[in-house]
Amino acid sequence: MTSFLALFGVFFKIGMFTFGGGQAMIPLLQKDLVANLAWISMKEFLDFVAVSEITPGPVAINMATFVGYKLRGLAGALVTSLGVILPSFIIILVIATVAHTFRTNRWVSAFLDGLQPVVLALLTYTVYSIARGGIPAWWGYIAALGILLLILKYGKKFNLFLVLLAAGGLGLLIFR
Amino acid sequence: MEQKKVITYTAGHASVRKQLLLFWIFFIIGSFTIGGGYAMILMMKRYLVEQYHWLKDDEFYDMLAISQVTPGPIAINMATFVGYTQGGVLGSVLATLGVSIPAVAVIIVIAVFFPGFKNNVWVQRFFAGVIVGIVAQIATIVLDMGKRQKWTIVSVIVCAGSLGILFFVHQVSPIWLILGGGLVGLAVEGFKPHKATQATAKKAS
Repeated sequence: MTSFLALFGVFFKIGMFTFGGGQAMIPLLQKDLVANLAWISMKEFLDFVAVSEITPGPVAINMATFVGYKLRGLAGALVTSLGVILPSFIIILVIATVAHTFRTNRWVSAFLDGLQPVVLALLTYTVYSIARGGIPAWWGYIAALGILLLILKYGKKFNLFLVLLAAGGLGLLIFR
Repeated sequence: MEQKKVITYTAGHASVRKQLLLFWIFFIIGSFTIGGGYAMILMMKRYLVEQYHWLKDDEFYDMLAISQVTPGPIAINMATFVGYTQGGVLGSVLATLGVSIPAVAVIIVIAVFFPGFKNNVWVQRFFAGVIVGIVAQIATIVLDMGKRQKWTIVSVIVCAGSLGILFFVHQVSPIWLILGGGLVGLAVEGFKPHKATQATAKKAS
């Protein structure tokens, strides 16, 4: 039986060294969990990824919960989830304590200004990759454009959650 | 005007009500984020900037940029960051738990009760629809950021270059692009006389 410490350790390490968000963790998780440790099979792994992508919450936490639950039940799920969350939490906490000096330092400020166009490019690419991977038909793109225009026009009056629920309802009707 | 650029916060002075509100907001955001942390950016901005006025636009986008340069899921990074700046250490714990609990809970429920969840055709159709909404929301953030960006020759080149790399060079980790952008920022600053810098900073805010 896999020890809690081992479960925690693997996910802590992945949380610690994955840059670029939870999606970037998927190849690392596969290498560790399937190839190196053989805790789960490739088929299970792909199933977990598929479910994680259509369930609420960060994909990394979904994956951690899945693997923890499979190996050690409820307690295992909590241990792995905590493991993947803690590195982010600790690092950001340290940064946040000095954050008030960020924009007062000329170099840090310049660094942050330099990041912004890259973040913009990353978000643009994310729109493309999510749309490509997740929208099954061309009228889905039309619907996305329609929703975008509605948000832009009536933005502040819309409840964004209801927008997503409505989009889901639309999906039930139009996607085959 | 310079004041606006400084990240200010009230860490440690938040009321219990505000801390519970932090938990609740991030819980709601975590419950509706499908397709990874990017999908929740617009919702976060709505709540934190537009509804509660806890953060200014600049502060929000600074935090987003920092959340991308640090390891771990962006959603967690944002929750911890906002939680700490608005409610101290307790606030950061509550916001982080808030955004994480739905993700953990939903997977446990599925693993225990619905092992065939993802094969259900209605589930698939519903979530394909939700993705349409998510795409529209991230696109909204892209437009918002694009409008706010100070477009100079350098930032246009950096943005277009990053896009080119993302689209045509596969398997590139975003961290290299982000660090590259930061270095360009430093280089631009280094070649500028100090006075000119302050003038640009003023104009920007």
